[in-house]
Amino acid sequence: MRLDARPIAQSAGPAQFVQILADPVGSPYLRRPFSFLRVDRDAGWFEIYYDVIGPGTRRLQEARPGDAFNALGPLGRVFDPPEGHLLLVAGGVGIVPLAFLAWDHPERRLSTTLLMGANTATRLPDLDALLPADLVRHVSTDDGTTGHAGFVTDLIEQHATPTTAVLTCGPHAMMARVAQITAELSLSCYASLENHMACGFGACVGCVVEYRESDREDERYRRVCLDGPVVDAHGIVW
Amino acid sequence: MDMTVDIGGGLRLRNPVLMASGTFGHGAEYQGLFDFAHIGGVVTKTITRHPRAGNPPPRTAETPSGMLNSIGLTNPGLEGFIAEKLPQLSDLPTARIVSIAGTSSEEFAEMAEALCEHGGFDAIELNISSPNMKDGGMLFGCREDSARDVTRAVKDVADLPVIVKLTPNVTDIVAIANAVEEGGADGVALINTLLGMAIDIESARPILGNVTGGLSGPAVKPVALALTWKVASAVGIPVVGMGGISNATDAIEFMIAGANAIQVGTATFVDPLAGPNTVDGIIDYCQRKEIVRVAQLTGSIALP
Ligand SMILES: Cc1cc2nc3c(=O)[nH]c(=O)nc-3n(C[C@H](O)[C@H](O)[C@H](O)COP(=O)(O)OP(=O)(O)OC[C@H]3O[C@@H](n4cnc5c(N)ncnc54)[C@H](O)[C@@H]3O)c2cc1C
Ligand SMILES: Cc1cc2nc3c(=O)[nH]c(=O)nc-3n(C[C@H](O)[C@H](O)[C@H](O)COP(=O)(O)O)c2cc1C
Ligand code: FES
Repeated sequence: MRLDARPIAQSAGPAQFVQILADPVGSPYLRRPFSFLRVDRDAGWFEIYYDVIGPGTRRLQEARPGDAFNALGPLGRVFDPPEGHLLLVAGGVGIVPLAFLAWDHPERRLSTTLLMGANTATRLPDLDALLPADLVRHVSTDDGTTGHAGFVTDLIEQHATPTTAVLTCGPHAMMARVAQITAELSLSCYASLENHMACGFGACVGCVVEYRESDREDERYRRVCLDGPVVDAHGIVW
Repeated sequence: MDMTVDIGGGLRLRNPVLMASGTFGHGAEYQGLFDFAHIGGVVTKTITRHPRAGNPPPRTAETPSGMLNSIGLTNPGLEGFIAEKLPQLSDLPTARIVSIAGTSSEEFAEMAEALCEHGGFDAIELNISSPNMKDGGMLFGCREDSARDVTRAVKDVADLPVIVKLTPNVTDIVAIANAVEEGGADGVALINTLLGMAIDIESARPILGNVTGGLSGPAVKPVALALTWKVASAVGIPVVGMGGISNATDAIEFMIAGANAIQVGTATFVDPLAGPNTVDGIIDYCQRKEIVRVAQLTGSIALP
């Protein structure tokens, strides 16, 4: 889905997201957060890509060309990829912020590899439509209908170099497993979290994640919308 | 047109719209968002004596026309607040109200005294009504004697106006309001959130990490309005009404029911400009109705 919004498109960076009011009369009531898939800063548009799972995403799906939505963003911190080889590990719509990173850093694509997992071939999104053509990708399905048979996390070791940094986004259990494997391999690992959000801009303190270490009690839980969405995967409690 | 209102203890607001506790950080974070001189004031997230981590996630859940929260008073504690948050709060060009909660009357008083000694703000809101605090919190707001005692303990040491925030989770909120008035409260604020719950039927687990939480947003507005009307009819001190206020129409309803001022809470999450937009809408209404002082709205209900 493509939305014209020049101020948002011009300032959006990798890992940031936008809070969209799916229904102007408040049903559903709260905004819904979506990662940027691609932006065109000159033309002034951005694209999102989503699974339809409940009332908010159903309302978006019903949209017709020309419909207007109230969007708030860009929110969250921009993720600047570290130097060296990047391994992107995606599950489901978690591919969206990872794809944006690849779109936004064409110079990094030769040193980036994407691993994508799904339960079965029919659940895989159309990767050619979502990803830059020159981004190397490897697919896995739990049932082996395409690509590697098994979990996407099985592929991490063979595609990592000692200096690889991993960035992951997807279901909680998958990201937790990625964090564990990268810890065993002594690789740095970042996770783009998708905690449930009410405001998206730090006011409700609802979207928090627990950190392993904090200097003070009130910093044990920190806001994903403000300090993230990308966090050090080894610094949080999974 | 005169938009000023009095909310007790000599505190006069530029206009009747305040940002509610817990829905606007500690205030200063949102300085870039709009001109603070445009709203009546801000109420900080509730401060406790010691830093608190708050409750385990998930902390929010959407419900029809509203939301549940079980944030649990995440805050940097009294010293942390005074050192890190109060300086920026003090600089805001609007009324600054600090919300506090304690586990005993003594602790409430100790905090109020320390804050008043420090200064740099305009009033204290006593949160005796949080459903998300296991030790104390709402307990004070559920009984007339403890509500009266805690109010009196704070009033004895505070040299700033004291507004007591009430919980709707009681049998008779009017009795509690009367008790805090007896305790010397300069004003009352209501309502805090209504105790609520949601369950995921696939896993049979509660959706909130804390099992129960507080309901807010448009869903609670009719309840909040009725309680505001009841309390305003019974007490002789100013009333600050809140609960589901999203726009000027909602705000004006509360004022007609008897509120001297109102607070905008959850609505800010959906529209960060809900507060200032509410002010503009009230101005438009007063102009259209040729009302010269907004305070005339308070209690102007035309009962059958
Ligand atoms: C930073 C961030 C980026 C996201 N990016 C994408 C994306 O690019 N594509 C995409 O398909 N989805 C994305 N999501 C998840 C997406 O926000 C939810 O799928 C969506 O809000 C569901 O709304 P609904 O009304 O259809 O479903 P419901 O399940 O009815 O939503 C109910 C409530 O739960 C929240 N919620 C439900 N599922 C999720 C979830 N997985 N993550 C966070 N909140 C959820 C909703 O925001 C809402 O408050 C992202 C979430 C976050 C926090
Ligand atoms: C996320 C959230 C956090 C809150 N935190 C506090 C708090 O710290 N102290 C307090 O007195 N009230 C707190 N409240 C209650 C609000 O100030 C207000 O009383 C209530 O939400 C009803 O108003 P509303 O429907 O406009 O939000 C909180 C409400 C929400 C939604
Ligand atoms: S979603 Fe409100 S603080 Fe993060």
